[in-house]
Amino acid sequence: MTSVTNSFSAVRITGTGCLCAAGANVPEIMSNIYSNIRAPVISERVRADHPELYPMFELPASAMPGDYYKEQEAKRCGLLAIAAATEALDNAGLDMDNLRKYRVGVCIGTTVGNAMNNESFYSDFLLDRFPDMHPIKTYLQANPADMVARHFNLKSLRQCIANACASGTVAIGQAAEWIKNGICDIAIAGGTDILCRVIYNGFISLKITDSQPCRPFDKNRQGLNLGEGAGIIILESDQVARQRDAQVNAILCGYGNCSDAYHISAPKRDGFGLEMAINMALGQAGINYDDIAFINAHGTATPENDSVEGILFSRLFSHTPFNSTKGYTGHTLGAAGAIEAIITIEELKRQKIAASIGFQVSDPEFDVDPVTENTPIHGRYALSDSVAFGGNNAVLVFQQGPQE
Amino acid sequence: MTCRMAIRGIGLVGGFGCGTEAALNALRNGGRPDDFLMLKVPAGTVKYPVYLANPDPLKKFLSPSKLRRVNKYSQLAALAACMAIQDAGQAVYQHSDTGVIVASGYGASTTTFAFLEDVILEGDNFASPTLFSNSVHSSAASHVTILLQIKGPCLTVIQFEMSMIAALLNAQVWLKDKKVDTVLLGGIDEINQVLLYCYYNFYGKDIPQEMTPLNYELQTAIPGEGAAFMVLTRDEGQVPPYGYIDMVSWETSSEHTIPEDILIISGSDGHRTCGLQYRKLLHRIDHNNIKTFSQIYGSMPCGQMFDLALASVAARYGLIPNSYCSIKLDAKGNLGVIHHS
Repeated sequence: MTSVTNSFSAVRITGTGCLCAAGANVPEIMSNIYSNIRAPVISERVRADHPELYPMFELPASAMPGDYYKEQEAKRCGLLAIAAATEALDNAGLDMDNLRKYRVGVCIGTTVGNAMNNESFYSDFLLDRFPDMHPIKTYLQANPADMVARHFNLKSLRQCIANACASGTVAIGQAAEWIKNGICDIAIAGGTDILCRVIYNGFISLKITDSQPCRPFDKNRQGLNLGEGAGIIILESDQVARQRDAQVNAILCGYGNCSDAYHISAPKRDGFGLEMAINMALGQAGINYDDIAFINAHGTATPENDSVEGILFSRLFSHTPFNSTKGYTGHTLGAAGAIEAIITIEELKRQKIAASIGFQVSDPEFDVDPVTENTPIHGRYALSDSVAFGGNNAVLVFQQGPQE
Repeated sequence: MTCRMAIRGIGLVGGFGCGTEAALNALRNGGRPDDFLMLKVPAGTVKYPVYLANPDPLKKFLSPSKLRRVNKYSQLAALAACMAIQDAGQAVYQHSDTGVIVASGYGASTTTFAFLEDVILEGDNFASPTLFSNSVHSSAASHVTILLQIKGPCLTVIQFEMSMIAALLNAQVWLKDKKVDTVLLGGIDEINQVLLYCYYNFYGKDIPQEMTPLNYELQTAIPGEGAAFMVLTRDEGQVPPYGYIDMVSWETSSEHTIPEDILIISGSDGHRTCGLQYRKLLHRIDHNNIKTFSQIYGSMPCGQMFDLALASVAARYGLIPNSYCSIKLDAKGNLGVIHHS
């Protein structure tokens, strides 16, 4: 791979916004995960006809945007992204007037948010009941990147990234590349996804869901629990951040994205693509494995995914503390990478990582365990990785922002 | 940002056939839909003209056993990708230094519907894991990396008509940053029964039999499908056979002036709503200086990739000048602009 050094040194993170099962905003989420609180539920809203019921991580009522369940399902991803973006922009000290002065790009990762998967419409269509076109019109208006851009009256470049469960990570990385190359001054980037029957049935069909609360990296892990939410980060060029005298939560200093080229739904056992992505991100940051203070792992709690990360971490990061926060949020698919990036940034700021809830028994297949208690860390850099369907591996490296 | 991109190879499969020869024939002889699909409507059944793409030639590149669980959407992508690489020559293409970017308007919707069909007709317990895995919009890009053993970065963009311009901007960034030396970039869309149903309901019962995209006031869009891929590199080394992408930009149509001194490849594709916007945008341009190719490949959100690929083929073989500007509008007034020389 062609070497790239310090490519991202100028990309500042000036705002974060998030909502998921762990809370309605970033402070609440951090408070809950440091308190080791989690609340998976048997959903009343997303039900299917399976012999077993699988817990999910639903948004608490306090986190739901107004009229969330009155809107058609197709628009809910966009609504979550707007809610997270509102918090992130507020955190960054940006309002609509400020935004108008800059070229603002929008880059949103999702898996459900750009899929035409309206079951009721398709059922009517399939059974020759000739459905009304309203669901299609809604779908055409529901692209999450478009919805965010419309809401904040933004005219610049926008895109929805569909890199499966690495979408949120990749969206942040691509947006950083736009900033670095002057395509936009500010980027609203992250991920969003919702719980729905299609996803629920799909993951059950793959036999990778746990009927108990998930247990990332535990020897007895049985699979993931689905979750929903959105995470949005505000990225700015160094110049714009300085001009605005913006706070800097962290610096995005490395982004790697590499393919396993192996299987449509299973990761490559030796972690080849993930290792390449890690090396690419560290190369951009100009740092080594030892410089990483902690890792927020993908840690879905599926047997295969956690093995890949566990084996690779044993080899590359044998002394680096790591956690999986999916025990608090569930697997939020296209939003996961963005939500975890935000948790990583907050943990880096606070120099403390949350206990990896759900873990009890070491897996003999690898030599490392996630932290089981909230753990102080010492260092300026943290890494968050995503290991997704189709061999999509993506990694972000964050540097602690300037101390106040 | 500027990063001139060299077009080293092109792979095309669409309603006009497969490969550069088929594309050249269509460019020389004009295009029209050769296929029909039947669509059930309340009054009975209607015959809908379509531009169908056939992925079968992929078997010349890859063994059928490798394609056993690969859907048509991904097969079309893989076929166009294989042809683009073959066209560029192996010397240009090195697996470890290549990134893949796929853009699509609607993604793997056909497979999503197939997954839903199992659930609706058979029950939740009969949801197919294979269909689910392949319904993920990134499946085409993933299959390309798997089938062609490409281990570099991979990206899928789903942004309706603006997917291509966004994808090209990402490619430019990757090449400029030297993240990769080569980008295999493609656009892909697929026809399905739901799409036809949408056409029938949105655009009236008077079904067009041919596309006249420069007749802006008429609704003459006919659904198309296919894949168009390019092998792109930085402007280094040998002069590329298909010229250069000099500039890529995302604009707002109301604030952008189209150049008058260059051939315009209009992305108009027979949709009246957009057509009227094209008319407004191009009102200063001499009609002889505007070309469309959508009548060759049909109407599809990723059409700008076909415009770019077909125009680059046409320029290579002297059918149009080397310098042209491709434009694509969406219904919201966003405008994708590509300058080629």
